[in-house]
Formats: sequence, structure tokens, C-alpha cells
Amino acid sequence: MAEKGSTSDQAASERCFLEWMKIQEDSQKELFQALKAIENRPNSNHEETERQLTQLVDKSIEQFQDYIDRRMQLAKNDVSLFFAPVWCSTREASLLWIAGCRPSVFIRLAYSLTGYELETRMAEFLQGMKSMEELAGELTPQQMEQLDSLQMRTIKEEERLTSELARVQEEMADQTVVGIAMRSMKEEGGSEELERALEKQDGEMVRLIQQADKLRIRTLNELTEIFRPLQAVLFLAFSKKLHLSIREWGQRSDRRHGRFRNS
Amino acid sequence: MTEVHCSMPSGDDEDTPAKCRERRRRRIEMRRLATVSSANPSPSTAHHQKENQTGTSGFEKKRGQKTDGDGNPEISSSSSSGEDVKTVRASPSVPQPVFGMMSVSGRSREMEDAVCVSTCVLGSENFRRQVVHFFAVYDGHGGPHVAALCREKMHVFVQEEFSRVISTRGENESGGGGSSAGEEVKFEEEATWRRVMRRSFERMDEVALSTCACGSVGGQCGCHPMEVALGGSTAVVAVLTPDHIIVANCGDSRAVLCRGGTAIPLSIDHKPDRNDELARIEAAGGRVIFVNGARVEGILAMSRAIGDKYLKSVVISEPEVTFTKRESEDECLILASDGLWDVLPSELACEVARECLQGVAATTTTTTTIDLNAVPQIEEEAAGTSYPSRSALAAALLTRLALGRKSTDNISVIVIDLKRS
Repeated sequence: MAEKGSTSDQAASERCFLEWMKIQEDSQKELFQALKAIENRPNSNHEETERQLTQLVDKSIEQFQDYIDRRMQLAKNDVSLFFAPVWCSTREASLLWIAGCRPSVFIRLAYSLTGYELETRMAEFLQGMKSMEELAGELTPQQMEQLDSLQMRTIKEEERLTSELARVQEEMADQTVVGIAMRSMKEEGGSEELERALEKQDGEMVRLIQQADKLRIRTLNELTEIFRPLQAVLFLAFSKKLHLSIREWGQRSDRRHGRFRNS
Repeated sequence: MTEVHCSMPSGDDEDTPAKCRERRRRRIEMRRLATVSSANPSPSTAHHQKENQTGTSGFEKKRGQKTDGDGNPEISSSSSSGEDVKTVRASPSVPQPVFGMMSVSGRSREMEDAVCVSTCVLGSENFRRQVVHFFAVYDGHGGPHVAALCREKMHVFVQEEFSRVISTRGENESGGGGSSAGEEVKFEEEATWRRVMRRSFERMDEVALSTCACGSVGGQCGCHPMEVALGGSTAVVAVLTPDHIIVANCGDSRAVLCRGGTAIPLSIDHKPDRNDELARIEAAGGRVIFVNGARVEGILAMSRAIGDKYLKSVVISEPEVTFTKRESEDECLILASDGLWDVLPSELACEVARECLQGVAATTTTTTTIDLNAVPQIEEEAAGTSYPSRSALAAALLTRLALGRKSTDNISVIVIDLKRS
């Protein structure tokens, strides 16, 4: 029964992830559509537009929180699976940080997006075709200040969790654990002590994912609060696009290397 | 570790989606209100915070306070931990400089830049009763501690050294008869400033050499000696008087003057492969080795710096000083770390800053156009709670441009509006 339980756990975890990818895809489409609609109707009611965009941002964050919650329930049964997920392409797996993306990547993406085509607009500005207000309004000094502060806090917390992970991984080699492992080799079959030690480590790994997830969602939340609704929607749309693209590139290169998996 | 938790906006488990949604709603609501009340702007809290940090120096007689009356000093500052603004107002009529700054860690995971602005660093007590403002950018290496020390102390040293010169001269001058020839005064002033800057950098270096990264002075701490030896910082210091701009530089941060549309560098980067610097290094027994660019002993990519004990005697802290007479077509002065200059030529930086400062007065656009890149609600943030000065917008724009050009370093920029200062 134990064997069966674990395979169905794995199946459920994989399903959870694939569902999340589907949500990401749908959400990405919805967000880009909303942006397009705004572009096509430049003179629509401003307040109404902001309200709609805010709703989209809320929805995205709720979906992310929902996925994190569901995943956490599954991780409690088989945490290692989430540190080495079989449903990810190798490229995706190589980019993982504590079972997900690095929260600081969000800020890097924000910087990249605000710099996108800035040169063209800067040239227009220098030729007097664009006002300073327009250009500066894309990202105000105040927003830059807030982004910078968020980045520093995020990196600090990220580093704290990274050394926490190092501690948990290093503990594997502690005398007691080594002793247990040596003994269990002679005795065959798992000793209770060994089980307890591994369970303890699993517990710490679960806590790490919990904290990392908390940091991820917190960073995302703060970021969307720094941004105006339109900026936030733009950011979310591109962050989803990036996630999906990395998956696609990863699957392609896996196939090229003769690694085949479902989907 | 615990600091991080404290600085996060709320305690554990409180960031529920519902709460965040609530906060976002409130933010939008507040912005709407700000737009409505934009007719009577209120001073920005950010400014107050900055100015309340007013330093520990005993020279400051009075704390600067931003008011909204006439002659309101348009001081705008933005950004992160690594900066410091000090304002001392000797009397209400003292003219305040107009400047903006931005200092971000950018694509680097560590922040080693620091900036410092001290307005009215010298009040009317100096020999020509001129008000003098101080601006500086410091770009640390091997840790942020030397740059942080510079931010704390350099302007104080400049104050002290200047006061010392004035007090000795005061005694001599009181006997002498009245006003001497203008040229002579200028010459004297130039010599005075060169001396003040040299002495200030010298003292700054002494402090840096005796202070450990942990902050303790004189090697009393248990830290490894290398902790003291490894850190260093660039320093580009600009002093603004009503008639002159004095720039003292050590390292590869840079000051550029925008005059009548052309960029005039007021400092020359101290790179190890600069002919004169290379000769000096070799004469001092050092070597320049090319490892990822020219580096002193293959280590440091600049030939002068504050600190850097292990390379001392080769890497010196003596600044090069320029003394420039201000002219009517001077537009602005830009000080920045190499995070900006590595990706942005001086000419383009000047052009951008100049365009920002020149622009016609803000037209309160009420357009509701939204396109992907240009977000139109500038009037909300801009005219609302805190209207950032043109120079602050210029500093922010330059920073963004550097980020857009994939600068991988910390970026610090100060833009001083010379037309309005």
C-alpha cells in the first residue's frame, strides 16, 4: 500500500503542476488580451480600466497563492519530489531555487521590462517628440526607490534561506546520520532511527519551501503594489510568458538530447 | 536575518491575498485623491525623512526644513539606503541648490555605492561670505564600508579644513587693506580649495585605513587583518560656490559639466592604463597587469582610491582637483558612479539631463491614453503627493537608461541644476 500511495502522490503532484501551467497559459492570454484591448480603446473610462486591471492582478495573485497552497499539501507527503521534480525539463530544473523561482528574478524582470525599447523612446524625447512627463511617468523616481528597497530586502531574505538550505543539506553528513546509515547497511531494512532522521530532514525541507513560497508571494505582492495597475498587468503577463517560454525551450532541448517525457 | 523580518511590511501569515487586494484598492483610492488635491501640493515625506537624518556634525547650527513658502528650496532626492542628504540653513534667505539624485543597487546583489549631499556645508562664515554646497558619489569595492565611511565623514573634513584655513587667514587679513585685485583673490581661492580637498582626502584615507569592515577603529576587533586591508572606495566630490565649481576626484567615478550643450569632464578617471598613472605606478614599484582590463597588481581596476591598504603607496588617495569658473551657459553638473558611465557616454548623459531640465513647465496632461510603454498617469504621482523636481527626474531617467543598457553594477547619479542653483 505504501508503494501505491507514493506513486499516486507523484501523479497528483505532477497533475497539480500541469494544471498550474495550464492556468499560467490561460492567464497569460487573458492579460495580453486586456493590454491589447486598452491599446485599441485609448479613450475608455480611465477609472473603470484601472478597476478592471486591478481585478486581473488580484486574480493572478490569488491563483498563485492557490497553487502554492495545494502544492504545500502534496509536499508534506513527499517533499524531495519538489526539489527534484520529474515533470520539469532539465533546463527548468536547473533554474529552480528551493522548489521554485528566485524571488529576486521578479525585480530583474521588472528592470528589463522598464528598459525595453527605452532607447527608442529616449531618442524621441531628445528630438522633442515625447515629453519628459511621458517618459518619466513610465517609472517614477519614487517607484524606482521602492523597487530598489524591495530588491535589497528580497535579496537579504533570499540569502538567509539559501544558507538555511545549506545547513539542512550539510546536516546529512553529521556524525549521527552517518552512524545510522552505516548501521542500516549491515542490518538491511530501515531502522526506526534512520526513518526518524530522514523525517526530520523532510520536515525542514517542507518548512524551507513554505518560507520560500512566502517570500515569492510577498515579493510579487509588493511589486504589484509599487506598480500602477497597468504596469502590474504588463509585468505579470511577461512573467508568465517567460515561465512558459523557459519550459518550452527546456522541453525542446531535452528532446534534442534524447530525453523524452510525456507532453 | 531578523532585520529582514522586521523590514518586511507585515508579520508572518498576514499577507493574505485579501489583505493585499485591500491595500491595492486603498493605494488607487489615495492616488485618485492626490490627483484631486494636486492644486495645493504638500511636501513629500521622503524629503522630510531624508532631512531628518541631518547628521551628527557639530557644525550644523540649524536643521534644514522644507517649507512651502516662497523661495521654497526645490530639493528632491530619491532612493535607497546608500544616501544621505544634509541641509543646514543659516538664514531663510540662503539660496538652496536644486538637485536630484538616484542610487540603486541595480543588477548587482550588493550595494556598495553611497552618495552624500550636504547643502550649505559652509555658511556665511567663510571669507567671501559665500554659501557653499557639497555633493559626492562614492563607489565602494571589497565591501560597502569604506564608501559608507566617506558618506559619513568627507563633508565634515571639508568643513573643518576650510574653517581652519579661514581662521588663520582671518588673522592675517584683518591687518591687510581692503579688497585686493580680483585675479589675486581668485588665485588665492583656488589654492585654498586645492589645499582643503587634498587635506580632506588625506584625512579620509587615514580614517579608512584604520577602520575595520566591522566598524571598529584601531585594530581592537578580533577580525582578520585583511578585513581592514581589502576595502576601498572611489570618491568624486563637487563643491559648488556662487562663482566656482571645485571637483576633487580619486578613482573612476566622474563629474561632468554640461555647458551650453557640450559635455565638459571635470574629472579624469584614474585608470591604471592612463599614461601618467601607469608611469606613477611603475615609479612607485607597482605593476599594471591585464586581467579582465588593466588592474594594479592584477587586482584593482583603478589607480587611485580611498582605503585599499594592501595596495597603498601604489594606489594613492591624493585627489586631482579642478577649479572651474561658473558661466551663464552652465546647465548642470552630473556626478555618477561607473555603473552609469560604463554604459553611457558623457555627451549623451548631458544631452538627456539638459533636455530634462530645459523642458517647458509641466503641462498637466489629462489624457487617458494608455499604451504598453508610456503610462500616462504622471499627473497623479507628479503633481500630487510629491512633485519630483526636474533634476530628480533627470537623475532617475539616467539611471533607467543605464539599467536599460544592461549595466550590471550599482548606479548612483546626482544631477545639479546650475541654472536654478
